[in-house]
This record gives sequence, C-alpha cells and structure tokens, in this order.
Amino acid sequence: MITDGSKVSTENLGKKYGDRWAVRGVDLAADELRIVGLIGPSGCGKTTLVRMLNGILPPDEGSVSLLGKDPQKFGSTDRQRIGYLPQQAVLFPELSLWENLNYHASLAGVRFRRRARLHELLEFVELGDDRKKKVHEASGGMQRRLALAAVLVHKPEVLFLDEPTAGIDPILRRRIWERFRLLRDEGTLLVVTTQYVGEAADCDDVGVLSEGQLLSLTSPGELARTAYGGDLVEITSVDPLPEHLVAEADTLDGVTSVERIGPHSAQLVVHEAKETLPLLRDWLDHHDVTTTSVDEPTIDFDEVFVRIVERDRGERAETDDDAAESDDSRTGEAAEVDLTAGNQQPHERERPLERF
Amino acid sequence: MTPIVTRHLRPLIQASGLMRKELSQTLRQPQLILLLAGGPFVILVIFGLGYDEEQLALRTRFIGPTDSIYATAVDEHSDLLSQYVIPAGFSDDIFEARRDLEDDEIDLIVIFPDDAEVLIADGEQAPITILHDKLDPVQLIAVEVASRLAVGEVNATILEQLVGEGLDGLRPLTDHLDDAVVAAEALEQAEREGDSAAAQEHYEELDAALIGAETALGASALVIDQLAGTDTTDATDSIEEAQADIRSIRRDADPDSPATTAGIGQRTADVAEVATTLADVPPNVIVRPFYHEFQHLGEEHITSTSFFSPSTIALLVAHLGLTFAAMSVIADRRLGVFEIYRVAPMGPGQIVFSKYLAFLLLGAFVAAALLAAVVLGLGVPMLGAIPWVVVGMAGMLLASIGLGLIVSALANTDIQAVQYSMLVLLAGLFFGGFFLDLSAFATPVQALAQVLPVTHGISVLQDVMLRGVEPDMIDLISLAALTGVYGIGAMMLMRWQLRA
Repeated sequence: MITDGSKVSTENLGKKYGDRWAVRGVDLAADELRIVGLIGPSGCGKTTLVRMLNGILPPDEGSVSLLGKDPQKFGSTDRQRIGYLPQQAVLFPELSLWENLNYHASLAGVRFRRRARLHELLEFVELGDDRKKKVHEASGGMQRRLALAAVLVHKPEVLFLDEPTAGIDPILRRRIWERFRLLRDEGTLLVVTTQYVGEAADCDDVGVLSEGQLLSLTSPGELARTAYGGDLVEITSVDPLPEHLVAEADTLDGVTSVERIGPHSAQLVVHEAKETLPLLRDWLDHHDVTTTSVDEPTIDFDEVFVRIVERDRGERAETDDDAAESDDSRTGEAAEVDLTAGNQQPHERERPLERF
Repeated sequence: MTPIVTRHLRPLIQASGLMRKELSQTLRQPQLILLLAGGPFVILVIFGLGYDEEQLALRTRFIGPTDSIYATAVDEHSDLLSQYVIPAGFSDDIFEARRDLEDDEIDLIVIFPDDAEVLIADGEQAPITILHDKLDPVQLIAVEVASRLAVGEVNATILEQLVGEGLDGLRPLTDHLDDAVVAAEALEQAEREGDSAAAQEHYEELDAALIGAETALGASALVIDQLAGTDTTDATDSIEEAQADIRSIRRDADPDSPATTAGIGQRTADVAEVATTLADVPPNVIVRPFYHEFQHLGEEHITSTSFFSPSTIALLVAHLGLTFAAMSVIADRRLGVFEIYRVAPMGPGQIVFSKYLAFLLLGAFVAAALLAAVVLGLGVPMLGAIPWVVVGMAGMLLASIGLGLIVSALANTDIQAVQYSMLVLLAGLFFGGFFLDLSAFATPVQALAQVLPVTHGISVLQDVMLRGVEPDMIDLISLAALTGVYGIGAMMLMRWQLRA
C-alpha cells in the first residue's frame, strides 16, 4: 500500500464484478489544495473507482491509501475527515431543506455551533431563504446544491463528489464549480467525477477513464498536450492562406503537424508554444501574411477526450494483435502519475486484453 | 474539521438524528397516522355493533311422527332445548324442512327414527340424524356441540317420561309417605275398634306405601352413592336409618306379628317427617342429575368485542413495528442512504438503535391511542395493572422491530418486504392465538407460534386486560428472549448489508 504522504493514493487498484474488471491497474496520488477530476463516459468505472477510494468497496487487487490508512479499516474518527456525495443524492422528500441538512449533521455527529453551521452552509449554496421548503417542492438544482451542502456539513478534509453537476444547467454548474474552488482554497482535496468533459478545465488535475483504466492523470493543459502530441497554435489570416505556405509550415522547427481548418485558418501542433509562437509570427511576416490572430486556442476538451480514448483503443487493438501472436501476458499497468511531484507524461504501459 | 462532540456523545446525537428523521417522515403523513390509529378502532366498532353472538344458536327443526313421544318431548321441553338451539317446530315433513334449510330459514334438522322401538327392543340404539349445510369450521363445531346437547336433552326428556310413567316405584317419596301415614292411622283405628278385616286391608295399604317409600329412598340412595363414589355419605346413612325404621314399622304392623300396632300411626308420621327431609331424587333428576351453570372466574362478562380488542391491538402494533422497520431499511437502501452510512462516522449499532427507538415511540403512541379508544370508547375492560400492559407492549414492539429489520435484509424491494410482513401477519392470525387457542395445534406449530412476538403480546394483553391478572412470566421471558435474538440478528445483518 502506498503511504507516501499523499492524502489519496492507489497502487495497481482493481475491482471486478463477476469475471469482468470494472477498474484495473489504477495508480494515482493526490494531495490537498487540488481538485482532481475524473472524466469519462458512463460506465467507464468512475463511480467504482471513487467508491474504492473512500472505502465503500474493497478492491479486488491493489491497494488504496486515504489519509495515510487503508479506508477499509477506517474508524469513526477517520470517517469524520472525509465526505462523500453519491450520484444519487440522499435527500428525503417529505423533509424540509433544513431538516435534511440537520439529518446529515446528525449522521456526522456535529453538535457544537450546529445551527450556525447549517445557516452558513445554506447561505453558501444560496438556499438560505428556502430552508423551510420541502425537498419535493425544490427544483433539481436546489436539491443538488442542498446535497452539496450536506456533504460539507462536517468540513471534511477529503471530499469525494460523484457527478455533482449531472443534470444541472450550465449557469448553476459554473456556480457550483466556483464553490469547489473555494473549498479547495480552504485546504480541501476534492475528487470529482463528471461526464461533462468540458469541466476538465475547472480541475487542477484531470484523470481520463475509459473502460476501467486510467488513461491519463495530469493538468488540463498537459492533458491537451498529451492528446495532440504538443501545444496547439491557431493561425487566422485576413486573406486566404496560400496552400504552399500551409505545406511549408509543416517543415518549420518545432512544428509537429499542420492542419487546415478553414480558408483563412490553420491549426498547428508544436513542441512548445511559447518558443514557437515568436518564430511563427516572424515567418508569417516574412511571407507578408496579415493575420488576425496567431495564438494558443481555447482547448476543446471534448476533442482532447476523444483523441485520448481513440488513441488508447488503437494501442489496445495493436496489443491485442501482438497478444494473439505471442500469447503474451494478460496483465498490464495503467498510467502512473504522481501529482504531488509535478505533472508528468504518462508512462508507456502494457494493456490488459480484457475488453469492457 | 468542524467541532465534533466527544466520542461518548456522538452515537447519541447520531441515533437521535436518525430517529428524528424516521419520526418526521412518518408524522408528515397524516393519512398514515389516521389509518394506523383510527382504522383498527373503526373496525372494532363495526365488529362490536355488527356481531350478534346469538347467531351462534342454531334454528332447529325436529322431524318425526307427529303423535310420537318425540313430539311431546320437544313440545313440552322447548324451554330446556332452547338453551342449546332455537327450536323451529316439530314436523313430519322432511322435504319441507330441507327446503327451509336450503332457503336458510333454519340451520339444523334433527330427524328422529320411525322404528326406534324396534331397534331398542332388539337391544340397539336408535339413531337420531342431524342435517346441516355449514362450511365454517367454527360453525361446524357449534353444530356438533349444539346437536349433541339437544339430542341428549331429548333423550333425557323421553327417558324421564318413561321413568315417571312406567316405573311407579319411582313416584315421588312424599306421595308414598303421605299414603303410608293415612294407612297407618286407619290401621291403628281399625285395631282399636277390633275390626280385623279393616285392619288387614289398611295393613296391606300401609305395607305397599312403605315398600314404595323404601324403594324411592333406595333409588335416591343409589343415585347419591353412585355420584359420591365409594365413600358413604351422611345422606345415605340417614336414608338407610329411615329404611330400617320403615322395615321395623312393616314388621310391627303385620297382623301375624306379636307386636302391638299401638302408636304405629305416630311412628309412621315421624318416619315420614324425617324421610322427607332426606334426599328425595325425583325422576327428572335421576335421568338428568346435572345441569350447567356458567361462572367465569373473571370479574366481568367478556363480549366478543372485548375478547378480540386486545388481540387486534397486539396484532396491529406488532405488524406496525415489523412493517415500519422493514420498510424503513428498504427505503434507506432505495434512496441510497446506505452509501452515506458506509462512509459516515457511525456503525451498524447506531443505525439499528435509532430504528428501534423511532418505531418503539411510534408504536407506543399508536398502542396507547388504540387502548384508550377501546377502553374508553368501547368499554373493553382493563382489569389488570396498566404497567404490565406497557411492559408487554414494549417487549412485543421491540421483538417485532427486530424481526422487521431481519425481514428487511431478506427483502430486496418494498413489495417483497410487504409480502414478508403479510406472511408474518398471517402466521400471527393463525398461530398467535388470535382466533384459535394455541393448545389446539400440534407441538411443532406451537413451537412456531412461540417465535412470533404477537403470540406473547396477545397473551399478555388478554391476561392483564380481560383476566385482571399479572402476565405469565413465560410470555415476558419469551418476549425478552425474542428481543435479544432478533436484535442480535438485526445487528449482524445490518453489518453485513453495510459491507455488501
């Protein structure tokens, strides 16, 4: 078991249902003052991973360390240090928002300054004026915010949030993410799963899960670099870009690839945007190309996610072919990234043959 | 971390929070509360108003030859028969009687045999046939009992007539003694007047009367002797002395005897005075020496409503405890509360304890409301001490809640939990002493009944409310044992569910 001082860490973590692995070979480590996002499609193993991290599920292989201990052996004192918001928020329709929050405070054993804490939380999630409203009278968004308040009632050090923004409109999602950042700044480690790939940009670290495997766990920027093989740069010109210049750009130092994305624009993948951008601007000036912008574009994380998953599937298909030829080992390892030691590229790894 | 209370207080805060949630959820449903407390009371009121105990008496038509001894017996002793059945006439038309039975005009047909004297002359019993169309086992028992009693009564009535009319020796003792006194005085008078012919005639009258009296006394002595067993009673001793006196008078009155007849009239009068104070068993008592007289040991007459009220309350409260506990856990599972339990700083103990606490309070409230309603509203007696009722109901509720928590672990859905609860309810109805006494069942079934909390709850409530005695300690010990066993089971299963 990893006990490297990280608040959460795993080693070769796996869980299977029947003979099917839902999660396998996950290594990760995370410390406080971070929001760790786990993104991936429905059924990719996010919830299973979170439930292993917080001790609800015992792993079938590997180990978990949470706050320096195996969460399976947590006592009540340890459990007071963590919070968990499941996908299905636990709220009782016949009770008021206040009563629901009070119930969760009781579960957590909160007594001192309890009323003040409940008021504070309801204000935090902007439900102070609705505290007497019954849950069945509250909107979905209000219920989600109440669920968030409920999980914060005892000020946990580590917070596991399983799809906290599912089914919520973009405006409310943004406000909820603002609160996540506030909590992070107060010292809480948040582990958040989401189906909204775009929310990766709000995380400090993003883990991409596909078919039970953690394909990557790194910062959003680094994730884009991983997906594209470098930094993205986008050129937009006033006049249509000549074809020969697009072709020539591909040969420039530091440029990995070029793709025309419109008559006036092209997207380049470069080794290091900061170094390449001045050179690129000089080269465009040299060819008398008037540009409206030469810069790093806003990252489309949907595209990033698709690229990473597709690349992984391609690699796996190759591994399958190799395995068929050599009847090689069926076990493998996933990416290992230590976020406490800074962002790193995922290691090359063997892929298991299991298909989920 | 927010300030957290000490380790010792925390379980209490958690349990009270959980309990408050359970209570709030239930109390927010006024219809449910009304249904729980008001429903059974209304049913008991309807039962009390609508149930006619007299309906168990069966309307009975007697069939036989219209000029037979049966017709006379049924006609003259209808008051006796009406203790067991409602006589609906004597007739020789069996077909009409069957039509009336089919039309539900009567409940029973008692058919006397046409050829009874032939069978009896051959030393055989003559059959009396009873027709009915009842399906209900309870009514079948009533038919059997009532018909046996009615037929027995008819038998006795016929026998009484035969004895009274045919056996003159069994005329009432006083008749014989009155004749003897008259004859003795006449004898004495004839002797004084020297009228030997008249004296002989009166002697024979006296002797016959004294033989009749001696025989009547002998019959009484025989009945008393048979009933008393082998022990000789004072009554039979006195009768034997009277018989000896009678024999002495007969000897002295004999004209061939050297003894004088002087004072024979007084002696006969003296014996008559003594003998009439002794047991004189008339023919109707000889053939029907006993009659029944109900005397309940309790202080009050128990009506059907009174009898069923404690059982109904026990059954309902046990069902409430079981169902609420089971449904609460199922609802927790459905709402995903178990996910929170698994990461919350609490163990299965607090969860189970809070369920016990919540449903004990709720059940106690419903039980108190129902008991007050039936005692104050329906006049159901509360003869015993109320604290015993509290102890019994608390024990039954705790055991039922434990059983409900076990049921919740076995059921995956609400529907399954309801079905399990209904099975336990049915078991309570059949084997818990609600309708049928436990002693009517085979030993294995009685053992099954012992594991049902409601069995002991009904027993405790009936003892305290209707009999006015302290509950049987076995019931209280059983409830304590069931509470312990089911509680441990519930705890283990909750631990298992939290890990699953």
